[in-house]
Amino acid sequence: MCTKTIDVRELAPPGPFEVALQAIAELGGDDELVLLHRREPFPLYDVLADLGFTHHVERLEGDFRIVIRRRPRQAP
Amino acid sequence: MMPLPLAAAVALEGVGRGPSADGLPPFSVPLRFFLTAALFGVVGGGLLAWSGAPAVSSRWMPQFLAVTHLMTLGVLGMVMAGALFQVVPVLGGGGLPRARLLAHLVHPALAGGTACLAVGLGSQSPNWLQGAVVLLGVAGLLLGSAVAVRVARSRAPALRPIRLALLAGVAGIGLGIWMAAASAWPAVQFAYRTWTNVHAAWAGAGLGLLLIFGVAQQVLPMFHVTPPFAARVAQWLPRLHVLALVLMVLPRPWSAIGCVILALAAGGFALAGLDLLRRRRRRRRDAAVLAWQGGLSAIVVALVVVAVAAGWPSASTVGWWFVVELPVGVLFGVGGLGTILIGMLTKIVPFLAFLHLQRAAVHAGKPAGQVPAMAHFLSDRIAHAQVGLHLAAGVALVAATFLPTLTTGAGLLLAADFAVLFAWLARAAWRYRVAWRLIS
Repeated sequence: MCTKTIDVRELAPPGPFEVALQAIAELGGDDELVLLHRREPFPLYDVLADLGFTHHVERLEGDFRIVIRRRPRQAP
Repeated sequence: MMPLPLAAAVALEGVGRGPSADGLPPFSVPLRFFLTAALFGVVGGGLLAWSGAPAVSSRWMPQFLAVTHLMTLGVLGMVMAGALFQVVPVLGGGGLPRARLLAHLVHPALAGGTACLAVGLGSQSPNWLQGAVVLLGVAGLLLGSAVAVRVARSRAPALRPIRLALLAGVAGIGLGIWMAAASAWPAVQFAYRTWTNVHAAWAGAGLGLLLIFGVAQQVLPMFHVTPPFAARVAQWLPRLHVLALVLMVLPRPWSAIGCVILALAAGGFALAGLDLLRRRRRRRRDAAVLAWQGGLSAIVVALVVVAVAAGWPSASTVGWWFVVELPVGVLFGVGGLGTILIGMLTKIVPFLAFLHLQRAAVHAGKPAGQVPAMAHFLSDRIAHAQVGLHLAAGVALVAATFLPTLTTGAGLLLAADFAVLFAWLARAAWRYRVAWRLIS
């Protein structure tokens, strides 16, 4: 498993959204993506769920750390 | 025949269907409000041009009252209502309850109510005012309740400032509806001259300014990569702002003290916003930055004049206040609130179009690269021309309050300003529709 961290705090919209979509496309099965964001990217969450990803949000001092992983496949 | 904004919205209605977990309604929902706002601006400017110099001879002139409400309710109110449908889910993670149905009810009620009010005030006709009271009451109650429910449920800090704006809106709009009812039905009593200033203060400096300041706390750092507002500024100045509005209801000297506190609180917030823009990390001075800078500066100047007038002995009864009250109102409404809202439209309309198309591309399994860039929906050149034209119209209107012979020209400039707004909004809607068809 490897963790890729991307800081999108200096990007104006729609930069963070584009960067996140590009990064999750390259994410391996067990990898996780950490987004450092200045606010909660609510519109992104719906898209992540649709693409089969889960997310977890942690509040940092004034910023947000969003950890994104592929949703585990359920056993048949 | 179907009204143009509604037709454009209906054309987009098939676009973006499907439930959204984060409550983002289809692009057609805010767009119908924005298109209608632009049309009200064209009508307001046209009416001012047609009325000419007599319209600006006093704030109580029927034509001036009609134009004022076309611009405040018709333009500012429409844009704010439309923006709430999209801004609340983007900032708070969850949309207004039953957003699509709500928009279907609020939009015609607000548009019809504003039209009735403008005709009723312009012609002094009680029947039109009765219609306005009913329709605006329905629109205010529905939208106000929906926003209140959503904000009360949310834990998102970004939505907290909207609570104070909502409180001011209930008072300001409620007073306005009561005043219209008193003109429409003789049985309803109301002391107009006493309460008109309170109505204007709570609706304009209350709802309008608090909502813009609340949104500014999110939008300035988000779109222009500025540092955030200092915690003390964000927490305390809006509360002081509301305290000032409460004091302004009381007799002198409390009302005068309220005006001075308002200038300090709201003027301080505007200056803090200007300072953040100066320190922005994204150095590009796009049209929205120009609009924020122009609008916030106009608000500061207007508030300083109000504070000086409030502290001036007997300014409320005689003297120079009567000379400056009209230009100050125009500077605040058109130059301040109007410029900021138009600047925000140049940012949020292309952003929302892009966002909805990106989500549609993901849902359809299409590559994100198929989605046109934000500039496809509004170019920098047109955005700058729009903000520049609006600032020129604002300067011309303020000048017309001193030199009434300029009124017709200023009115035409204002109508042209909103005609340009309508044109690029309609083009953005069309380009969105074309892109949507390609993607889905």
